[in-house]
Amino acid sequence: MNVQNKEKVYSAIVYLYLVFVCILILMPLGITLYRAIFNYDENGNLVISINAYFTISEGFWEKLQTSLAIALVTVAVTMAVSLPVAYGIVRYEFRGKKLLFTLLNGVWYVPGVTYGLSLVLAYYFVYRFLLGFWGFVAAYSTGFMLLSLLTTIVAFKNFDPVYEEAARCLGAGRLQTFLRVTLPLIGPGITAGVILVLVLSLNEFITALLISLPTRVKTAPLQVFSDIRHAGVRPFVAAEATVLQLVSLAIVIIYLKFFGTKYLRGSIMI
Amino acid sequence: MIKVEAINLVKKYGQTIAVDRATITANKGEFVTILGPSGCGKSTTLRMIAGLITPDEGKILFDGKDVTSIPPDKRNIGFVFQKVALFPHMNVYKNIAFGLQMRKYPKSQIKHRVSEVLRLVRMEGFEERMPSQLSGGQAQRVEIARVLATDPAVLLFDEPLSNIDAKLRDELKYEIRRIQRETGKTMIYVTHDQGEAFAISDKIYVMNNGKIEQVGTPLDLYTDPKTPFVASFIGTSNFIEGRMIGYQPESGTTLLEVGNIVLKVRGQPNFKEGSKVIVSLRPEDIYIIDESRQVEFLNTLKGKVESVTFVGTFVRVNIDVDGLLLKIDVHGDDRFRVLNLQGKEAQIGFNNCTVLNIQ
Repeated sequence: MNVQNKEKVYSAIVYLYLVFVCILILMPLGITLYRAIFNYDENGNLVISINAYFTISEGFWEKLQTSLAIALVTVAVTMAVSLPVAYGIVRYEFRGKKLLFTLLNGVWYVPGVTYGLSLVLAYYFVYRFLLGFWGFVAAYSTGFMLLSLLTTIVAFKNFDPVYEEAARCLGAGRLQTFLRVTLPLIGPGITAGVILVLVLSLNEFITALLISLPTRVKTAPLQVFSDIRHAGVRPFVAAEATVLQLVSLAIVIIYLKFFGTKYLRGSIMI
Repeated sequence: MIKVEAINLVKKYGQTIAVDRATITANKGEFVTILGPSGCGKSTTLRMIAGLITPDEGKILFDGKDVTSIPPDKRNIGFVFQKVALFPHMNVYKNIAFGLQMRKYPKSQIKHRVSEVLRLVRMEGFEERMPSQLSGGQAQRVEIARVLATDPAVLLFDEPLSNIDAKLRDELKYEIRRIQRETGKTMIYVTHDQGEAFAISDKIYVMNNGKIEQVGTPLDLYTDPKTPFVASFIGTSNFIEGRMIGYQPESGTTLLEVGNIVLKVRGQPNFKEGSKVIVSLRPEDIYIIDESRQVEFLNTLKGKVESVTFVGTFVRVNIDVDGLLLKIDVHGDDRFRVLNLQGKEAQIGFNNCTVLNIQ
C-alpha cells in the first residue's frame, strides 16, 4: 500500500471512530426522542405521533419557566460576583492566594450529592431568610460560582493587560476600559462560563432535589423525575425530557449566535 | 507640547531597586531617549512618567505641575507600547477614534481627525482593516496614529520597534523622527538599541542598574563617555587598564603607562599621578599607517596583525601590540589596502582616546 492510500485508510479509521463516539454520546438522547414519538396502539402497531407532547403534565411548563428564570438569574448573580473576584485574583498578589485557589479547585472533587447536602445545610444556616425562588438562586449561585469563576479567571489570564494600559493612556477611565476593551476581549472565556452555568442550573437535579424541601420550589427536572416515579417511562415523560434537552440546546445556539460570536469575532482568542 | 520632568524617581519591587533616583528632563519639543540594557529600569521609568506605575519616591512634573498621583487617563499622554496594543476587536478606524470618543469629540470631527493622522503616518485607506490584517510595520504606524489623534502633550515610546525586522525598523525610526519634527511634540523614547537612539534623539539618558549613568547629545556620549559602562555600551571600544604617570605642561599631554607602552593623551587630567585608569580607544579612531604619516599622530605603535575580517562597510583588524590586543576598524577605500595584512607587521597611529579614572 502506498503512502497516499495509507493516509486515506488512517483518515477513514479516525472518521469512523469519531462517528462511533458521537453515536455513543447522542444515542440516549435519540432513544428518548424515539420513546416520545414512536408508540404502539392497542393492536400492537407502531404509530408515529407527537401526541405525547400534548399530554405533558400541566405543571411541567410552569416548572420549566421557573427553571429558566432560576437559571438566568443564577447566571447574572454568578457573573456579577465572578468578574471582580477573578480580576482581583489574576491582577493582584496577596497572601494565601495559592491556598485559596487550591480550596476552590478542591470543590470540583467533592461528590455532587454531598455538596448538595452542604448547600441544604448552608441554606438552613445562611440563606434561611431567602425564601422560595431567591433561596434557590442563592444556593445555585453558590454551587455554580466556581464554574464561572474558574472560566473567568482563565479568560483574564489569557488577556494581555497591555490593552487596558493602552485604553487608559488614550483617556479611558477604569469603567470605560472595562466595558469597551476588557469585557469584549475576555468574551470567549465569559461565554464558556455563562453557558455552563446556564445549562447546568437549568438541568441540575441532585441539588434541586435537596433544596426543593426548604425552598418549596420545584423545577422542571424535578417534575420529570416525579412523573417517572408516578407514571413510569411513559411517552409524555419522554416528551418532557426531550423538551428539556431541546431547550438547553436552543439556549446554547441562541447564546452563541447573538452574544458569543459577537465577542469571539476578531478577538484575541482566534 | 510641554516640558516633562521626572525628579529622583525610585521604584522598588521587594528587595530589588528597579529605578534608583532617576532624574530625566525633556524640554518642550525635545526628543529624549532613555538608553540602556534590558532590565536596567528604563521601561519602568517611562511607565512611571505615563502613570502606569506609581513611583515609591520622587515626582513627575508636566510643565511644572505635579502629576505624580494623577491617573494615566488624565495626563494627556500618548503611549506606544513594545507590543502592538491595537484593540483586536476594533478596526483601524475604531482604534484611532477610541481616544477621541473618550474625549467626547463630535462624530464629524472624529472622522476628520482619523483621516488626518492616517495621512500623517501614510496609512490612508486602511480604515476598515482589522489589526490582524496588518503587518508589524503597518500596525505600529496605526498605533502611532492612534496616540497622535488625541493631540497628547507628550508622546512616550517603549521600545516600539524591537519586534520589527531590521529593514523596517530602520525605516520607522526615521519616520518617528519625521513625525516629531512635523508635530513638534515632546517625545520620550526608550530603547536598548544605541543606533536607534543616536539616529533620532536630541538628548540621550544612558541608564544602568536603575541609575542614570550619563546624559548628553549622541556626540557627547560617543566622544566623551564619563563612565566605563557608557564607554562600553555606546559603540565598540578597546579598554586598556593603565596608570597615570605624569603630565607634560609644555606639550599639554598626559602620560599613561599601559603594560610596557607609554601612551600620550591630550589635556590635563583631573586626577593625580599614580591613579589607576581605563583607556577607552575606539576601533575607528586607530589608523594603520605608513612611515610618512607618523607625524600626524600623538601615539604610534608597531604590532603584528592577528586577523583581518571583511565585514562589508568596514574591515576589522585585530593587532597584537606588545601583548596588547587591539581592534581596529578600517573604513573607506583603505579597507582594500589592509585585506592582505594578516600575519604581517604593521604600524598604527591614534590621537583620540577617553581616559576614565577608576580609583
